[in-house]
Amino acid sequence: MAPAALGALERLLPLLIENRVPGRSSLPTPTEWRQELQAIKRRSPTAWQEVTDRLWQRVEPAALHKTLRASLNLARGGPRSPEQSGVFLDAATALDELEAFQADGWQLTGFDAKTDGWTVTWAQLADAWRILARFVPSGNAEAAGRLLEERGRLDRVMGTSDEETVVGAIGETLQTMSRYQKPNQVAGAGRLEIKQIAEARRRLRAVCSAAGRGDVVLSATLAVSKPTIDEVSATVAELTTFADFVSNELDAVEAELARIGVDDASERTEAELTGTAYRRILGAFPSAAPALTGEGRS
Amino acid sequence: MIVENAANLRAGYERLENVKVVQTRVQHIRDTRASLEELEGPIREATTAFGLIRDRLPIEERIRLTRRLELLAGIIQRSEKDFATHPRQVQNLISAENTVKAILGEIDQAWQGYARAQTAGYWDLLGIVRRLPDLAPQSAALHQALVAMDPPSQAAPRGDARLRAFDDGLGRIRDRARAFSALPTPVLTFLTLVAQEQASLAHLTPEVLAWLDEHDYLSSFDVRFAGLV
Repeated sequence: MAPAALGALERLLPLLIENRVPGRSSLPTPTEWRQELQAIKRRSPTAWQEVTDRLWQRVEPAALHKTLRASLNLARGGPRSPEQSGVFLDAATALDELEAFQADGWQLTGFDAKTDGWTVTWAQLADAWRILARFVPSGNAEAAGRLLEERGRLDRVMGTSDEETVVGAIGETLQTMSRYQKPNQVAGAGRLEIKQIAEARRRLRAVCSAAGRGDVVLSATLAVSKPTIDEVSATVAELTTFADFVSNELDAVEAELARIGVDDASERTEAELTGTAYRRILGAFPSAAPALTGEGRS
Repeated sequence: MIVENAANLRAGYERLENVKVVQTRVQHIRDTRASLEELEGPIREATTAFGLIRDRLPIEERIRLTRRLELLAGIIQRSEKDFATHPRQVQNLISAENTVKAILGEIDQAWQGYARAQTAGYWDLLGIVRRLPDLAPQSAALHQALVAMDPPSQAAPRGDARLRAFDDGLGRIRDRARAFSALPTPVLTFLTLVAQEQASLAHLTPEVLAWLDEHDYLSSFDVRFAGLV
């Protein structure tokens, strides 16, 4: 583990212990928290999960998201630099470390690193813990599976076309339908925007990529994406509905064309037959009218 | 997928629209041809009938009917010209149909006038001679010939056969009328005037009186004051 991440995690865990020991107001030494943790483990083998669950229930998703961004991406040298705050978590590194932490079965064996010189307030630790606690996997597989399906649907609908081409095709098709007064239930697709589709693709690509990197990264990605997942689903649903409508309508139009089966040749044939009928009728006149015309004018 | 299908659908819509336009045009062309086919019979009737009887009609009648046929031909020629841009010519051809029907009626009327003129004199003759008992068989024969011929109210002949039948009938009437050619002209004139109630004693010449006496017809006539009711 990278020292910075290790240090941060090392200081998060006392908070867990502190939650079990109300009134504690100072940081325990590494030896103290290790002892306390061992005590918790002895008292209750499921302590970790219990505390995690309790924290999880207290977490507001919107606040989590906001804090996640503010805390994990706190820039070194920023207003709350590591030197000042004592906490610095690079988001990507933290996620990688959490992934490793998970792979170890959430064992604390890696927390022997030196933590001298770290100064952390309880409030900062509480914030950071809440953020990291959010990454505890819970129902991610189901959510990821659903989004993977969405990605599959989106890929099938769009094929190799880019967003601009798709939006252009939708607009042209709706215009054509309007010109020919075709009733449709997919006018909503006309409100889809290029950036909206592009964002949906980007989100789904990120989720799919995260799904290949393990539960923690996937969880983090889902957490970050959470507020827009519904929008992504709505976008994919709109595109899928439109694509299905177009496909069904295309089948119907082709069937109608096959049923009608009129071609230009039949028009030419009919016109020729009619032209012949005209000439035949006008030919009936010379025997009487033209011969008499001169007489009539005389 | 969506882009290709949408492009195919747009093309399909346009093709369908074009096909419907073509279909409508084809139907319009068929409607025009159906109207022409309905029109062809009456036009052939009119031109044939006129061709058959034209030489028998008075010149004024010939000119009038010729112009009417020219008018009809003009309507059809205009329709043929318009057909290139407006394939449905039903309305124009209905106008032609109404015109040809009217022309056929006029041809029939002209024929009836001609036919009446051809037989009128013989009917007059019959009106005179049927009053003469000793000429009763000849009168009956003339009457039969007149009645057997196409009544003048019939339509003009549409073919040679009917025209020949008319001429044959007229020939038979002439033949039967020859039976009365032995009548002296003054007698025939006198009898004609009597039939028209215009005869006076001045018409009763000695020659006429002798002929009537010879044939024992004197008791068949009354003498009255002219102008008395």
